[in-house]
Amino acid sequence: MRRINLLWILLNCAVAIPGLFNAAYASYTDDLFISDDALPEVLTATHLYQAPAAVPGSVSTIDQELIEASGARNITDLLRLVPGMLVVPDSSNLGTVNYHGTSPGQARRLQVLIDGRSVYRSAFAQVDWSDLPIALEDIQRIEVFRGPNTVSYGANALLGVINIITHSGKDTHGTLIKGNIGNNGIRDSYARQAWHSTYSDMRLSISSLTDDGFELRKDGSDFRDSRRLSRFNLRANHQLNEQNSLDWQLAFKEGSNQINNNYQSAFAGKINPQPWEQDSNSDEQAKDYAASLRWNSNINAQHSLSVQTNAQQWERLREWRACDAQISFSSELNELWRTSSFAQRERLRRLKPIGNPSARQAVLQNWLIGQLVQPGALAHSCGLINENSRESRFDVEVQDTYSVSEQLRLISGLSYRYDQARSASFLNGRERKDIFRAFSQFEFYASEHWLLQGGGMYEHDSSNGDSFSPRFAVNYLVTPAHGFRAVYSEAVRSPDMFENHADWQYRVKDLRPAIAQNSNADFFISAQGNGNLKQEKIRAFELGYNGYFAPQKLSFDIKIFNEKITRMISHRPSLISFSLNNDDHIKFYGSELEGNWQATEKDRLRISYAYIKDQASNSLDQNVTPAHSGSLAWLRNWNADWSSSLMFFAAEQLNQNDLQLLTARLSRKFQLGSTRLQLAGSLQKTLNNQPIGRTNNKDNSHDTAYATVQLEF
Amino acid sequence: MIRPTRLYSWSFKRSMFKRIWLVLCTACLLYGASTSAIAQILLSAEHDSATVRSFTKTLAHALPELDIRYMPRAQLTAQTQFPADTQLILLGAELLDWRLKLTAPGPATLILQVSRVQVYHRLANRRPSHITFLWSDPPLQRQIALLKVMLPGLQNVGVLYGNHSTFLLAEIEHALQAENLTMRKYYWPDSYDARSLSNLLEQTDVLLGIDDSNIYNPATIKSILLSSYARKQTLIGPTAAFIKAGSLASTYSDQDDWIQTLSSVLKTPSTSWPSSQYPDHFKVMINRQVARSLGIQKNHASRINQQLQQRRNAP
Repeated sequence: MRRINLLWILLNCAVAIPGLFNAAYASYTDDLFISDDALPEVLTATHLYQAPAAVPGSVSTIDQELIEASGARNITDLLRLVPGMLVVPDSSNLGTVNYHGTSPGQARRLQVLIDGRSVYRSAFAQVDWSDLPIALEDIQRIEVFRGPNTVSYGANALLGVINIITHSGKDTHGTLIKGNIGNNGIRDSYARQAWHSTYSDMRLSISSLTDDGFELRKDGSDFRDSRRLSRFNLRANHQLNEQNSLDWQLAFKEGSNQINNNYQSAFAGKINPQPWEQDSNSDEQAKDYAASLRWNSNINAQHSLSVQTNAQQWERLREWRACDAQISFSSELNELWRTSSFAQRERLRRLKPIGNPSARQAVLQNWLIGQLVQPGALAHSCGLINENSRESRFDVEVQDTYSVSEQLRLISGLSYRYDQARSASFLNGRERKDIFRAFSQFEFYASEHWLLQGGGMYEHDSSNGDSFSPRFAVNYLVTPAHGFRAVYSEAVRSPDMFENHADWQYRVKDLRPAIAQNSNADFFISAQGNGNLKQEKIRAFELGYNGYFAPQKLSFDIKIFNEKITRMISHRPSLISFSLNNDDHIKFYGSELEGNWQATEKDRLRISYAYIKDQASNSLDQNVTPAHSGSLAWLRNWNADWSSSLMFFAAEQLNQNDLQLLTARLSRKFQLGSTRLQLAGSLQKTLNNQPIGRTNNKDNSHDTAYATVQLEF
Repeated sequence: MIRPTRLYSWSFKRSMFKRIWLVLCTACLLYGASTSAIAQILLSAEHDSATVRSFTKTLAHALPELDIRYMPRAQLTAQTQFPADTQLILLGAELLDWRLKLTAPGPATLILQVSRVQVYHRLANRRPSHITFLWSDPPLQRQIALLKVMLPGLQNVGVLYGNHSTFLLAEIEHALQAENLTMRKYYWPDSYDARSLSNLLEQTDVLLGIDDSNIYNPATIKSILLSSYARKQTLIGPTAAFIKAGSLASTYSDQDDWIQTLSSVLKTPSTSWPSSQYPDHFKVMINRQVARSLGIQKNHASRINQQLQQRRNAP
């Protein structure tokens, strides 16, 4: 209530101060020589962005020129340009992205949106960057809000928000065909066609991507982590009338990611399975489906309303044949594990006698000992286990933007989201939840120089309870292009369905040989979420400056920050040792700098740098954050045809290894009548012979080189 | 005695009559001369409105020595002959078309509310005698000066043009070069061809609008403004009318400026009127919200106006 009152006070102040309501431009309805009646108001107050100096936080933008010049094939590679963004591969070549830190294996504290649709998987709190149903060529720009922003984007925008904005049909009329070919099995193709009619635009893109991932493991053996995928993306816009428009999108991605069979037998050393009895790999089939519909209505120049609905499905199928001792599937061992405490399970998994057994446990334990002491190898069976999951989401959001005056703008809205996940192995069936949200923000120019912004989001999560996340910012604008800011924000992250409600157990099928004529049985080790996890919470302070020197075409942003995540859930999902709690915390403080300089007509220079110190309570989150990290980029257009780019990325002890990565690209354009042909060569090379991150890849196996041919007509 | 006296008296009377006659005649002549000097100035516009009538009144008030009257279009266009000393002030292209149909030379005419593109479309470079064009479109040099003051550091100025505005390109390029700016022109006859627009925007820092209604009109302005704004580029001009839509800024001349310009023209004999002229007096209009959103530092119209006036007065 207090916040609502504050809003009303501000609103009333604005109304009460005369002179604050001058229109942005004078009205000359009675002047014979100025008539603007027939012209629509296009850039209305409700559609205008904030100037960088007026933003209540720090924003990095990766524009079209940078995307092209980077020579990147993955979105994650682009994010290295953002200060403080930590991009490391996870167990294979698939990237993870974290801001400031926390365990790369659990990169789950950033919100990621594609045209306003959250692609953050709610059941398994992660973003599968390689599986997003979008090609890099579809992206118009990426805006990264560096800092908590639950206020605008809901829970999970804990450390930041990555906003991916795709090309509209209007910007891409015509045909584009592109292909990449290079080492490490790089074979990519992309085709795009866009059409228009008087009131509609449509863009269709179809793409595929293949590569072999890392070449070698640390021990020199072949790294089996290649991927293959294909994507379909259709976006359309219809202008219904002067005030109303519809934007819809359909996206689909299917592909497979190679993963070695990493099954470790509970009775390793005590069974003797033959190689042919089990699969050598456990590749994942990944399919993403998405549909979204957005209706925009400009009620008038001061007031607009939008409604967006999205429906998505993530399907991850992974089934493989693995072997274990037949006693793993026995009802006795299943019962013993189920009735054991966490401490008892810790001993049991090492096949050691459990402490303080109950009478029943003692009986079962004796039975197990009896089995283990028998001479020779234990009898084993091999069966199909799976880690299949199907998650789906439906959400609808209504947002109202109202420009009360030139000084005061309000954004408010309501949203509802339904999340559902099915997984026999991870959730023992189905989990679902509902989320309701209400949010409101204001932007108030108290004077030409002082800008106050604030707001909050109230969220009700049916499985995690209620939360309220506020933010308040003061910007002092020396001029519209130069501003100092002070920001305080709070944000939350809800534990995902798996963290809170895991019911993890492998239900093995097609056991060979069958056990007591049963070819289906449950593997004895299981894990259960306690259902009591609370939301993680962050409190963040930021002081910053953003400036643009127009004559020099130089912009830069600098900030110092202090962030603390409490009630943190730090874990590495492990079936045999699954005990999640809110006991951890992490603190980050440091500074970040980002600068962009159009040094000459032909040369563009860009720098990013982050100095981050972290104090993490959990070892998983330690030694991840580099104290110093950054990037340098030099883009040059030699003349109308030739252009080049050189980018260097460095980090000191990023997830335990130094990063020194260089990318270079050279391209030549040919104009053949109305057809544009572009040839380009891209190179990515690690300069320090160290692997990126803690992954099991061998030194320079991240190096790639590929050539691009692109035709546009 | 009498006779001479009479004679004298008669001659005296005669001379008196003569003098009075002369005075009367002179007075008559002078009166006639003065009435013929106050030639009738007729102002007409395409559409009758309170605004145009009140403008006529203000103009008449500013020039009390002249006989300025408003005449509705229908009444004016019904006439084909005008007294030789009649002068016309005509607002809008339709009245220009009517005026062009009058038998040459026709009354001395000031044409207002007509742009260079509109006239070029009708007359190319031909300039009929007795017609003076007071251009409605802001002078491009002035718009370029505005661009230079508001957006220092920008280099590449995009110019969208069509068949009717090609003739302006050389002049624009010349004016841009004088300010050390580079012109990136783009032939844009198909206003729905958004790709061409985005191709142009790849090479530009800002767009300079030409008052060509084939390029800038209510149907096209949306895609021009949305495409440029998405790239954080602004549009200067083409006229003040586009500011409300979202163009960043434009110079313009309002009613007061036009009264001043017309006053100085009308005070001179019509024989010395130029064939065309831009209004001397002008102001600057800025869409402050767009300026603020793009972090444009120089966003005070009056200060920029002052700067532009100073630049103009500089030697």
